[in-house]
Amino acid sequence: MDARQFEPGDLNFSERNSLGRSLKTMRMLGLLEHTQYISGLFHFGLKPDFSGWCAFCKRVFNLLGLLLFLVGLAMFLAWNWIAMSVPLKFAIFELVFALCSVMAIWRWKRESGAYWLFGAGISIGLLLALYGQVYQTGANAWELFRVWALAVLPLFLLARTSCLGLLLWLTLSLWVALYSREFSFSLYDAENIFLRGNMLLYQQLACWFFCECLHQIAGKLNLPAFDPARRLVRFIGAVALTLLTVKLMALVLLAGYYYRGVDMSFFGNSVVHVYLAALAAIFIFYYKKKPDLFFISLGCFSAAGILTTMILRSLFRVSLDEGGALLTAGLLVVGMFIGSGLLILRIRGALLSAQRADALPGQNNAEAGPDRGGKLALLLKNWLGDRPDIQDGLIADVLGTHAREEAGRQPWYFKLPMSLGIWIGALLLGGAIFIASDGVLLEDFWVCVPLIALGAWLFRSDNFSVQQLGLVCILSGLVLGIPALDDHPRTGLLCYALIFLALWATVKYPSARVICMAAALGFLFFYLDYYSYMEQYSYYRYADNAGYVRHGDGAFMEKLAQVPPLGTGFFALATAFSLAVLGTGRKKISAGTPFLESAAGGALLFVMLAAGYFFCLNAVLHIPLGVPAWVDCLFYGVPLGILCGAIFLLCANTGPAYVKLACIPAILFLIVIGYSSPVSALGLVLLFFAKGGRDLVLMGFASVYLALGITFFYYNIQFAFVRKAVLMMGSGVTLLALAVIAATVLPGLAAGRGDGVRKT
Amino acid sequence: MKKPASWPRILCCLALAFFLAGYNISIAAKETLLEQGTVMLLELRPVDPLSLLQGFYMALDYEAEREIVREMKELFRDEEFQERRERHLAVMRDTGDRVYEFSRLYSEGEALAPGEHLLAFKIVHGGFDRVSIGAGSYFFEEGYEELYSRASYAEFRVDEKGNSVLAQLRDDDLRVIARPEKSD
Repeated sequence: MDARQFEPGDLNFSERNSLGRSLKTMRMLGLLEHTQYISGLFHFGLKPDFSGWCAFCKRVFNLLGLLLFLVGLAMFLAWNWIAMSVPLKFAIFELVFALCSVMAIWRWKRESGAYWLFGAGISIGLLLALYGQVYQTGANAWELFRVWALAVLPLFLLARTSCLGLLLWLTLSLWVALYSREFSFSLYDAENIFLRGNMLLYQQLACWFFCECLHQIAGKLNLPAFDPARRLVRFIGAVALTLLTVKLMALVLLAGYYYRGVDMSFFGNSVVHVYLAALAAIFIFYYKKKPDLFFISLGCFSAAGILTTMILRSLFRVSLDEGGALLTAGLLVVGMFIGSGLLILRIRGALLSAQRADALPGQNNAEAGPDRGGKLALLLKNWLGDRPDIQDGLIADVLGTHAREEAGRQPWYFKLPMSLGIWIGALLLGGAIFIASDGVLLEDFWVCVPLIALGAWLFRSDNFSVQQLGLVCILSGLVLGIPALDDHPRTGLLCYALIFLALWATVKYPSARVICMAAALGFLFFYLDYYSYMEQYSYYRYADNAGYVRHGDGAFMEKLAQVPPLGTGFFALATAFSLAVLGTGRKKISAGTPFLESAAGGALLFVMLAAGYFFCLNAVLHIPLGVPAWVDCLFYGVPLGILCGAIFLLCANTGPAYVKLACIPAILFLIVIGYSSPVSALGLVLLFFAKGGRDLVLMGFASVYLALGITFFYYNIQFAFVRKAVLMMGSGVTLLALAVIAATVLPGLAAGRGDGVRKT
Repeated sequence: MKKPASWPRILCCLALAFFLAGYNISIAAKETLLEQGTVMLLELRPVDPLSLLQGFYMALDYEAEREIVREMKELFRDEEFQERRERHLAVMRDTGDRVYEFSRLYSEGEALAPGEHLLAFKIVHGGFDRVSIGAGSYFFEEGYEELYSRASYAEFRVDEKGNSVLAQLRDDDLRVIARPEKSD
């Protein structure tokens, strides 16, 4: 195998990770000097060089600049919405649609064309919503999604892009789901068990079936353009399988009851047999016909979930209050999930063996992990040059160790339900212990003691990281959240957010983390939204023309409630930034350098935001805060700038001692902010955890929270919404301009200096 | 090298243009109705004006809808009532000041007396015993909930075939409820 076939730039994330670990091992074994080690990190792209930095900045600034500009524009339009004439409203949205359409047709053959077409698809929904709002048509929400789905369908058939496929699936699902609600959709709906009440389930199954059929046909006729993306198929399949599982669980819970005069006997119900047969058929298909560990895992855990429900249902008939019943249930659940896990591992082992046997030399295998086949060894050997002290066997050993470690890791879709199952079992066992104590001890005690003990044990552990912290979070979220769900839905939303936050921290697979983080942020957003509305207003059911009663004044949440687009904007900003950090992190930053890149990215972001806000705020708009503008600027801007610079320099390991000292006032400043904005304090704590745990993703997440907290803090300052919109647009333009500089001017400067790669 | 087919591009262009054209034709139709339609004021029964996701709006519940349901229930059995999903027409009678109230269900070919006008409605399925004559909500800007809570009448513009568009809300004295100009 010729080493010239490979370049370090061709390495994927996993391969880079493996190389990074190998270099570290060689450094620890004393085979590499520190400078050689650092040099190796740069050589293999594990640390980005100057051009890498420029690319990173360009990407982050572009995304955030565009986002800020769009959010600011949306806020600006929202403020002036009522005052705008109807033709102007239509003209704005139609122009957006027309622009997207023209760009999509113009860039049809390029990748950007797909995104423009997706934008056109989204614009269709906006246009329909606007039409409904302006003419107050009174149409049901499902009618909007029906028209939307039908309008997107031809676009998808013609372009066949994944994002349009996802949009089509989403609109179809919403159409069916909302339409089903018209028929009192309920999981317990016995009368409509085959037809109307289950339309969503059947629609999801049909979509899944359609995607798999399309995949098979595309494979046989050799039409790759018609082959749907595997991620999309898995996503739709997971939704369908979840609905099927929940339906079966609901039927288990109804067993033995008469519902609307129908005997809901479980196994006596013919529908149950059909559903179980469908579940079995799906499992067999993905086990025998088209081996897919993702669906096999889901199938196993689906069956385990249904069995768990059956056990709980049986015990519930006896008495759930009995500690013995809970103990038995807990043990059974734990045992069942462990059994499922072992079964899946066994199947996985068999599948991997078969796939390895079938795979061609040098071919990558999605489930088996990267087949390095000497590629990394050649790269490493080539870089090391003539080193008599490092034999080929040693390199192979070092690489092989890490390859085995990586192959031994379980996929996220295995760990996630496995963890959930174990947690459910642990909760049941905890309940059993509580009941066994005869309720003498306070509930708080039973919650706190194990958590403190667990925390102490985890902190003592050498491998402590935020993943373990997530475990603590999820336990506390579940234990404290579940009892609260019944009587306070707002708390429930917060608990769901905590659960997803914990899941996000627990799983390591990037896509799963993105989903978990988006879900957590979504629930947090709805929590805030719910809080803001419900705490402010209470409503009387009109007997006559009774109005509303307002409560509270001056609180941030009340202000937020007055401007929902701002809340939406924050949410969008947070999500997009998280995605940006994740996206850039995966492409440009390896796990070998966890802190530097994202911290610097976050710091640069802060600087830019601070510049955009403070300088515009003071120089252009002169917000009346009661003190001279330059005082505001100094008070808010300078410490923040020091903090950003300090983080940047600290991370680059180039800063002298006084730079570290400069962190102290900056941190104090943030603590002061944290006093009025707890979100900032949380962000700060997360930031330090991330640094300690060397967790790249948490770093981005903490940055988001800091940004959110600080933004909330400034939001509390009294100035007009419309001015904020202008400021955000200004910040967006500033960032976009910086993106251009990062893409054009900086590489030129680096070339002029002749140091495209940083010296070490 | 085989040139990729351009027909998907052309068809996609046509689909997008077709949507835009249809959309604007629909807008034009609504604007014509708003401009030329007969003014019909319908009495409102107020409902909670809040939506968690959509923001602030006035949920509208029309007195006429209740009358229509009562009439239909007398004419049809429950099962028939729930199964009938097609569009229906009601005859509305002017009681003065262009305030209309339900008179009777329209029979095909029936002649209308002076002061009577057709109004289309549809049966909301799902066993809720409900019909809909049009907009079920009226969206307004946050901060004006007290202003809109005074709404007592909904002003519709209706054409000869009974198609309607909600134009605005009016208070007890039939004055149009309008948001005052805001100052930033």
